Amino acid sequence: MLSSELVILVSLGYVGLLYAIAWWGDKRARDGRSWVRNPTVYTLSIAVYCTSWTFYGAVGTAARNGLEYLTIYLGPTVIFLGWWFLLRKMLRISKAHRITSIADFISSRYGKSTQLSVLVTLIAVIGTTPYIALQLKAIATSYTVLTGWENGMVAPVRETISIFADSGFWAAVGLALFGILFGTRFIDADEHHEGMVAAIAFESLVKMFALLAVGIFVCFVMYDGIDHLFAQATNNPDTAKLLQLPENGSARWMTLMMLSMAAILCLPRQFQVIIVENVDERHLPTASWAFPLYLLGMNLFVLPIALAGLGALPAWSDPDFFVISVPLFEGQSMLALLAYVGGLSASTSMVIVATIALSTMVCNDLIVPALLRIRPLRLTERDDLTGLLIFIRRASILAVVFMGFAYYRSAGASDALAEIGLISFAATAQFIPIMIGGLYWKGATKTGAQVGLLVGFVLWGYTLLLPSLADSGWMDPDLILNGAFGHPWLRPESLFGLSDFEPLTHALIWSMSLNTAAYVLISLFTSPSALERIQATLFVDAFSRKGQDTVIWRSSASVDDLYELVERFLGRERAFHSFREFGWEKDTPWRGKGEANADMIAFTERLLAGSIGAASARVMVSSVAKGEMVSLEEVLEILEETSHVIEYSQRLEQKSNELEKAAAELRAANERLQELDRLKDEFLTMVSHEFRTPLTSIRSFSEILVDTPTLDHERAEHFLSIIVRESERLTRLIDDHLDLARLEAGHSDWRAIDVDPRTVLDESVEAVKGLLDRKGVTLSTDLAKQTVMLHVDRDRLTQVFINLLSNAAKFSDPEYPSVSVRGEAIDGGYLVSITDNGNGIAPNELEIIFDKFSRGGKYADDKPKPSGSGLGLAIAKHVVEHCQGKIWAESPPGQGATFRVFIPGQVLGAATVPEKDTVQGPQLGPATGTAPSS
Amino acid sequence: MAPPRRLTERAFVLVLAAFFMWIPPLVGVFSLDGQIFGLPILFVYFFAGWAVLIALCAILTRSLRKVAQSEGP
Repeated sequence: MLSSELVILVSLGYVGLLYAIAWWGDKRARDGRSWVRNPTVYTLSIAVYCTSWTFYGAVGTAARNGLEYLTIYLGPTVIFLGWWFLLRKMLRISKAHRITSIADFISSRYGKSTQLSVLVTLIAVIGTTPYIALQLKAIATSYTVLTGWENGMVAPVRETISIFADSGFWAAVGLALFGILFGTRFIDADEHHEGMVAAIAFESLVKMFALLAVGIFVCFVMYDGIDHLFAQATNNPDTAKLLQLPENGSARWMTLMMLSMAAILCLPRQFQVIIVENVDERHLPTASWAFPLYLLGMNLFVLPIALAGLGALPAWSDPDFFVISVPLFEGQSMLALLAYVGGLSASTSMVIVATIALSTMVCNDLIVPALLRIRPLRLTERDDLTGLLIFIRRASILAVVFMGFAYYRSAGASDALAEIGLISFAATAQFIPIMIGGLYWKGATKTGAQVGLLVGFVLWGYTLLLPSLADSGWMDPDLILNGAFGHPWLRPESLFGLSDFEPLTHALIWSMSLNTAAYVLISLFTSPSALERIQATLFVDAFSRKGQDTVIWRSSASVDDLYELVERFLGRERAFHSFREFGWEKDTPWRGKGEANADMIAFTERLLAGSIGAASARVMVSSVAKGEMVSLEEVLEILEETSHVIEYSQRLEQKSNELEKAAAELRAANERLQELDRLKDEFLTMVSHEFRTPLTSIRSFSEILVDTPTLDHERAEHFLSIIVRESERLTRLIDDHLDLARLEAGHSDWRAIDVDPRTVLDESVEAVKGLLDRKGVTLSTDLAKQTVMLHVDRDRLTQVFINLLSNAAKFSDPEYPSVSVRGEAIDGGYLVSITDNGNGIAPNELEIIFDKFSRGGKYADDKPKPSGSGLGLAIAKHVVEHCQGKIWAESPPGQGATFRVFIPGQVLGAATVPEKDTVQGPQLGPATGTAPSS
Repeated sequence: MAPPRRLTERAFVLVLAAFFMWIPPLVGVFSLDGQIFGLPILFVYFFAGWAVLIALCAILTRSLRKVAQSEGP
């Protein structure tokens, strides 16, 4: 038994500590050394989910229904394990749109609809009131249990005590004060309450510590270990059934799982801590496993405490407060005091966050839009609105807390804690269809959302709230028993004759299914406005879009107008900082009379949305941007037009690219033509020059013959023979030329057959034998036994060899002329080298001698030998190249010239190589380095 | 950069596994008499399963977090 003075002192001390922590957290945040911005604090702040319902109520539920209490924590665990799919998306969207509450979130999705945000706010407030009442009841009852246990007092006797003697009243006052101090210190552009978060995180640590302490005491001090405790429970048939699932409990189990999954997403306070207070998206991954871990820790000892309470305590004791009464019963009053503090922290954290979240919604989504609509107030022209906003929020906090208190004082609070909480859960679960649908279905419309939500809420009220009110005597129970108008089909707890389920499941089946059905059907049969379409795309495609939305405004506001507007709502300092930052970031002027660009107007709207909600922000900005806002239909038209223009210009660009390409091709072709023209001129010059030489001599000798009839017979004959020879040369020249022309044009006939190059060489040598003998040339031939079959035109190849041989004979040393021929098979082909012992070829001419009319041997002293056509090598080169071969000349100084021809053999032909001698491999000699490889 | 498909698929399977583990009929299957290490079977089923899923989630989240970061702000 503890004296009430001590308990009050501890309570006050604890709340004082909370104030200090919150104050300190705020101070650190203002100094820029925030202590709150880390994943651990984020996770602990989410643990505001564990209210006194968890702390006291879970034990109560466990004592009544066994393991059923786990569903309330398994649901959120599932949601957090799946953070990647749902929470991450909600977080990303909320950051991009500066969402301040769940009402803001939903209304933003459905075209920044004010009606929708009002509806959501109303439901949230009505739904949360019982929940706040639950916390106040828990505080008051735990105080009574702690101080009045031995007198058998289990609940405060509200009817007999005045309001001021009710500990619940003082709790309400203290909590409202806390909310006012730390929830509305200033109107922040991004709604972060760092001090509050710090206090909540601390409270999460306290409640966990307290529950674990009681649990460990129960398991290891009261009993000899947890197995011993369970063994005793199993022996008692009453408690043994708690260790298994309740009979026929499947439907309720499912309902509770679904409800708790919905609750972690939709409860205004959870939305506040998970989404709005989140400072860094990277904290979410940590919370995804850390928060389930916290829940696991909180729940580990719940069942043992319940079993111990059932086993040891007198039957009249309320299972909801076993956490306190069990230690008290065991004489551990200090442990009971610790448990009381834990319960206090669980209650206070819930009330604080819930009131702050609700006050933001009431202010932004209910009161401000209403005030903006009342024209006589001229709110849009007022100078400083920060004070008004803060006042509205403070009033909302007080109103919300005392609504909860009123509920607690008058009704409903007679239920078990868990049942009150579940009514709240069921109300907020009505948001789920329009939230999830809004995140993944672009076709959802505002009308669909409104009707769905309204249907769900009405059914919730009729099937769940009304029976609860009737239970507490506020209403005639006749309606519940006989249905509206006395019609049995309208009985709230068995609507349309559905009576197989307990009330909670029954209520959820009807409200959720009709809510979803109305939402989907009406969405399918209504068309969204342009703004709705834009917002739907922004929400559904949150990850595939880069950058934020910029709703287009027809700009006619000056920068200063916008600045002053923001100043009115956010205060001087915050407006200054926000605009300066924006100006620096975008490199645009952020003060002055200059016209603001669309970006800046959109920025202003977002900034205001952060403090007064999206819908109100839109109204405010349009009041300043003097020209009307571009209607969205207009915007879409502009967009469509623009996209046409873009498409057209793209097509133009494509066309011009094609033209450019064609022009480049033409230019290239022209250059090639010019080059060809030049070559043709050159060629003609050369040809005429070449033809001129024999013609000149023919003509001059003919003239001599004509002009001098006295010429003696011998000389005349000599001249005539010259004429004949020159004519022959001319004929040969023309033949060669025609031949070359055919080769170049690719018109000549090629009769390729398989030949052995050795026979071709032999024939060629035979053919020039006469010429060589005449000149007295020493010929040495060296043909390797190894050979390859070549697939070539035999006559052409003979022509090449004859040409080379006669050239060699022509240019060999005049005194001791010698020519050597060498043939060998290498690299799968046949290499023929024909060497003379003449003066050789100048290095710079090694290449050009294969050109038309360029004669080799242009060393000064063997100029006069223009007996060939000058086309022989050019023809040879053509022939060889036609056979995929290669022809080239080498001329080491003083060693004459060597012409080499390499022709690749046929793969098949290579197999027929006769292997008579030991094969030493191709004898490459000096040719290795220049072996044709390319 | 799109997240590696495999990772998100695993995450999805984890969620499904958690959900179906904790709803009827599977919970009913483990509602048995008898004990493991002196603890009721259903109690062990819930808390051991819970701990395992948390551990799996923590491991998976390490990789997913990298994906999320490389995705940019």
